[in-house]
Amino acid sequence: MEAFVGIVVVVILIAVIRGVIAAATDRVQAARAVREVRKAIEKGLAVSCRDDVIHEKEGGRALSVVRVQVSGAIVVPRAPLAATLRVRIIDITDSTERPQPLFCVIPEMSDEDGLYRFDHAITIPYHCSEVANMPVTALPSFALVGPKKGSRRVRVVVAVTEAGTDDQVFAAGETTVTIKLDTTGYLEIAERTKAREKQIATLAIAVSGSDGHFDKRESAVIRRFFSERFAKCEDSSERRRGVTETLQQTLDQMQSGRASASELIAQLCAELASDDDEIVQQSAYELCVQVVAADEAVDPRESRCLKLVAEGLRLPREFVQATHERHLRLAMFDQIDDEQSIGMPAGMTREEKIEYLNGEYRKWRSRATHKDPKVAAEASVRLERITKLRGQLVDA
Amino acid sequence: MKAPAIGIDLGTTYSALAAINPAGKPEIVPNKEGERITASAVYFQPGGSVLVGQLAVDAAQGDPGRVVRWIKRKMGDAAWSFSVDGEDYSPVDISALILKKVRQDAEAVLGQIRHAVVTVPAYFDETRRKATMDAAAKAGLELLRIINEPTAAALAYAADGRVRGTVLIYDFGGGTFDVSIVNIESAESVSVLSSEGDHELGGYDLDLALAAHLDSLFKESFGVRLLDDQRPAIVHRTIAEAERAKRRLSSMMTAPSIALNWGGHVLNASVDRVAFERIIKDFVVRTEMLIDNALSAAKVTPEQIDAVILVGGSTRIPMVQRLLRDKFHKDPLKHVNPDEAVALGAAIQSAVIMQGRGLLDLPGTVGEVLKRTRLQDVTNHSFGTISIGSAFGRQCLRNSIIIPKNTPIPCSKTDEFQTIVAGQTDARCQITQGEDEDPEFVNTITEGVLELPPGRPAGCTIRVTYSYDANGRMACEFLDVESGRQKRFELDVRGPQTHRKSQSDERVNFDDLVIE
Repeated sequence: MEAFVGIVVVVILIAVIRGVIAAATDRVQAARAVREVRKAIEKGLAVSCRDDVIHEKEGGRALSVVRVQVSGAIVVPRAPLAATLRVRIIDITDSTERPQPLFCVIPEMSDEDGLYRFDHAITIPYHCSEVANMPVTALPSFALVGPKKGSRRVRVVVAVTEAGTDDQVFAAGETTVTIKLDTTGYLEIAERTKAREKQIATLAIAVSGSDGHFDKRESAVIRRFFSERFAKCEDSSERRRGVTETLQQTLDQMQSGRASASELIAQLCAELASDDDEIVQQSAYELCVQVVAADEAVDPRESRCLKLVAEGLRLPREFVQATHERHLRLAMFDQIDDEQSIGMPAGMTREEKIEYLNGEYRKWRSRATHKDPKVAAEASVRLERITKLRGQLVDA
Repeated sequence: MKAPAIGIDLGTTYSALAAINPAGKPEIVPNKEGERITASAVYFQPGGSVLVGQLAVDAAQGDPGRVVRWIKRKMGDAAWSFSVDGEDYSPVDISALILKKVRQDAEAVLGQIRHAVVTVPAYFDETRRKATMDAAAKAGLELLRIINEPTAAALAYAADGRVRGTVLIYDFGGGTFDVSIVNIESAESVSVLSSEGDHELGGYDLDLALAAHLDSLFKESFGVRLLDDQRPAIVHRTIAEAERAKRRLSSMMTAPSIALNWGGHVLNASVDRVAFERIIKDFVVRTEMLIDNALSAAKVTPEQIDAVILVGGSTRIPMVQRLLRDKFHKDPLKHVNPDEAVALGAAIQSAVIMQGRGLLDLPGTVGEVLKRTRLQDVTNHSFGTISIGSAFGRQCLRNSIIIPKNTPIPCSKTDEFQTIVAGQTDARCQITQGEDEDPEFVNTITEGVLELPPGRPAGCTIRVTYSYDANGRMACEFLDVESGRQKRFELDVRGPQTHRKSQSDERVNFDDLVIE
């Protein structure tokens, strides 16, 4: 354990004093010994912190940490005793009355909920021990996630408890320290998530209306997407309300002609793309594709719209193709170019085309035996399309 | 010989049975009608008796509603059944009737038959293989092994002794297409390098395409269609005429006098080879793409192919032979009858197994050669399990392939996975078949739950071992390494899933946008 490397423990053998007392014939000496013991106990643990930097490995990244150390007395009912040295931290920047939790992304330094936790097994050798400037641990500020990013007031609590339980505390102390958190806070993430949800909702309804028609099946897809998303959250009523209002406002704006699908799409894609969160971007695009597929027909306007969204979100071609394959069937398209329908990139040579077609044939051939008749039927249609293109290349 | 060594080619349009003669050579055993191949057709006669073979095909002319053909295409389809006289017959039941017919006819010549090797298309999946095994059992056969059709054909050619080296087996049958790249070292050593196929691509598809062409000619002339589901007898007759024309076009440039008639209208149509080849071109192109894939999987170029072997009746089509000649710059071999090669090879494999088990007693060199004969086949699909992986930067369910397609069999492969969360008390074990990484596009063959001890951290190792036997069947084990708990699987084949229903087409109002 790094915290204990180079440990400088000054353990004063207070317990020895008991023997001294017992042996002492001099009552004055005994009284002095008892006073010293009491004084030591009253001190409890003084916790102190200092900023430091560690390196990942030689020449690696410099990582900021806060070193924690304690001084004071630890009195236990019997000795030697197996105990646990515990460190807990809370964020009191906004309120000391309602402190907020701090999470740690290092699994070994967090509990099952992700909260920072440091527990270390120690043996207290004597009935009464005193420590001075004993290093306890290094708080990994680089790996902590608080409510918000930046400088935070953090209360650091150190306790020595009986091993295996925190019911009996033998010694404890605390201090407050300022720690600079580099990671975006969870409250900020929650706020951003809410904003992203509204953006995705707006984008989806804009795509839904891009063919000039809002279909119940499309709205059902949007509702399902958010319902599933919120089902995993403990308290999502505010988020549900927010998304519902956004959807209704956007529908109203589009139906009244105050907003156009293309303008909304351009604006929202720019906003979503600026965040550089590819998971959000991919989720948004997948929802758009599902919305387009919901009414079993892909209007040319919807096709253009999807292209706009894919480009706007700067999504990789492979992802776009895989998403289309999952949700769009060729039969949904009124008109679609053969090469475009199977996702063949433009500008390929004849040999590259043959290679691409072979790959696509291999992929869809395997899907043609799928148990879901919808998947199998789509595979058959695509195989026909691929075969036709290959035949044309042979003729050429 | 103690008992006959039998190989059966259970084909889409025709089936054949071969046996090993006392000299150790495979030979076709004709059916009781004297035909070397038996039509895979079943006629349920009024009164309850059943006819199998050409008589059933003939009966279809007048009574198509009681005749089943091309049943091989329905193998493994749990939802399909043929209902007649209040009885439902599954594809397994009907295939068993065909197997029983060829077995009983051969018994009249060879005496009692108990054991056999039965062939399946290389591209048959687990469901279809299992259905074929069930059909054999139902026909009273103790199945020694099921082997892939092109592999059986390779054995027949290997035994024939005139082919050695890297060989491409082009098996274009009545209902299925397979292509295998095989290394024939000697009569005693045959190993498959790769296999590809399509069990919805065969001569029957060409018949249907040509029938559709004839139908359009008839409609042009008389304004009525022949291929109308309401008139099954006419549909049947039109397809039969198309098939006859197809056969003639293999040796003639024009198939004249194709008699089409219905409702007092008579048309003597003709189709020339150029038109026919235009009609079937897409099918032939599909076989070429599968060839390319098989070559690529075997890491072999067309120039490295020493011989091309033709198997299956559809290889008689000149366009097919031309394609192969152009691609490989050599004449395809057909000195073993394309209709019989598979059954002959299956009989050899049967003799190899029986000799090994002491069920057959071929004397001298022949017996020794059989004992030494080694056949190495490959898996025709990839098998895997569903685990947490990542795609396009996000964590999601992925299909992790454990036994990749074209792995030599028998084989056993092990992979390790970790539990995801602390305190995880069970692991879902799914066995998938398919090459896709996306679980959406693979079939789950079977699944179950491995119960895990409580109170453990995340990251406990689950060791997954898949074993694939020489019959092309699989066993799987999921083992929790720490506790020793395991889940073993016998394959439980699931029926096909159903379509989702279409929803309404009403317009949206605000209430439709309330998230619940």
